[in-house]
Amino acid sequence: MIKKMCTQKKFMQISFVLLLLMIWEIVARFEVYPKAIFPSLEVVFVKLISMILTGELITQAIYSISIVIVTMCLSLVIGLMAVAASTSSRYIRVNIELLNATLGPIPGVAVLPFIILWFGISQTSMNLIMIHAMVWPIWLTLMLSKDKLDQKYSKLMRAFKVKSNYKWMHVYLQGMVPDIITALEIAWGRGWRTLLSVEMIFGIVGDQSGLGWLVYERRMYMDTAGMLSGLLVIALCGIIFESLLFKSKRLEAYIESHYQN
Amino acid sequence: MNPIIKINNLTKVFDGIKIIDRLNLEVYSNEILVIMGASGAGKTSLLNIIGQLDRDYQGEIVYASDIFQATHVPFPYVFQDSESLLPWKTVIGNIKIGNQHVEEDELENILESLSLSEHRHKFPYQLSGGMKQRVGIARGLVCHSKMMLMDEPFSNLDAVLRKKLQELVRLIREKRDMTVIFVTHDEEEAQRVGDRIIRI
Repeated sequence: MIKKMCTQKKFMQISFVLLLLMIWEIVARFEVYPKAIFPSLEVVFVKLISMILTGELITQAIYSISIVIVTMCLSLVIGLMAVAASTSSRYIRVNIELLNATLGPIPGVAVLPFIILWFGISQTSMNLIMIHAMVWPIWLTLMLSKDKLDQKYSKLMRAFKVKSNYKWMHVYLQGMVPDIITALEIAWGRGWRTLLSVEMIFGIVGDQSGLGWLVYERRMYMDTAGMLSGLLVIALCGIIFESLLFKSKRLEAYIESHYQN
Repeated sequence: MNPIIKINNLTKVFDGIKIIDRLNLEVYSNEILVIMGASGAGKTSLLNIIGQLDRDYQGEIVYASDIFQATHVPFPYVFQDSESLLPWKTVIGNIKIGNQHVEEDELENILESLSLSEHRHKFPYQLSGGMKQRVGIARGLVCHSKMMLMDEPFSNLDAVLRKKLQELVRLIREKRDMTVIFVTHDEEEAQRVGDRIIRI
């Protein structure tokens, strides 16, 4: 039984994390590095709890997550509109492909100086950078999905003379659902990373700031435990959000039954 | 008796190979015409041309005007495999692709006649192969067409089910005065279903 337990993925992961924490604690206890830059787990844990209790961490996590969700939804709408436009004209499709090939590989942070020059340090700039980071993979995934559906069901749609609006509502949009989820998953990964980098540079926009700024700000005050607490929450948010939204067993089962013949 | 479709000197070239060579054919009202032939003989190509899904051919096809009356889908198709059903749609959703404005009473009758009533809210993954093909037939029936094109519709089913569905096709033709063009490579199926058989 113990042998069986040892070969389970969860067990292997938990044991590895515990091993890392143990090494960390040993290094901290023996003060291999100064306490100020290498705090013990206890200090980090106490700091994390106090930041949660004051509401600081939660407010900033909610702010960061809400920005990703809003810009992700905007990117999805833009992506779908771009797919519709690409379908309507070959000229548009060829040029969106060109834009995707040229702009797609540029990381969000790399366009930041240019965006700041045009729009200043504002919420608009942040949204634009986020949309830039997410819209290209969304467009590409949805375009491939639409092509796949066209290939599979074109004879059906032509034989029954399915009208364009019906085709969009009942074949493309509904048929694309698994690929929309994949596109959002990719967008979430890219958007979350971009946001945290951008927040570190933007700092406070208006009267609010996110987790990225929190980590950066803690570094300025030499609050290493606070910085580590922020990083921990960033990682947890990413994992929890991804597993709840994109990797849920129910969602996977639904897609497997409803989207495979 | 005047044909409802008259094909003169039809030639179809695919990848540089003549798969249909100067074919002459007449299709009559209310008949089940079976097109037989080996794989790659051009049966499906001929069906696609008759159904106006493929217009890249030489020759002439003359259709009787009443084929196009009272329907915007003059040539509903029943496909070979279950892939023609949208897996994210229920039985009713799939049937309505043929006609989104079908009356509820009519839909009810069609579901009843094809023994699909109790399966109306099921998704394709919950249906057997025979049920899926009946949904395909129902989708053709809601189009109010005078004709139905069937491309080896029962080739993936077992013998008992095939026989039942072959009888169903004959029954539908009688009840609805439809013309059916049925493609198969199975001699026995052709004999059982068809009024007339052509080999290409």
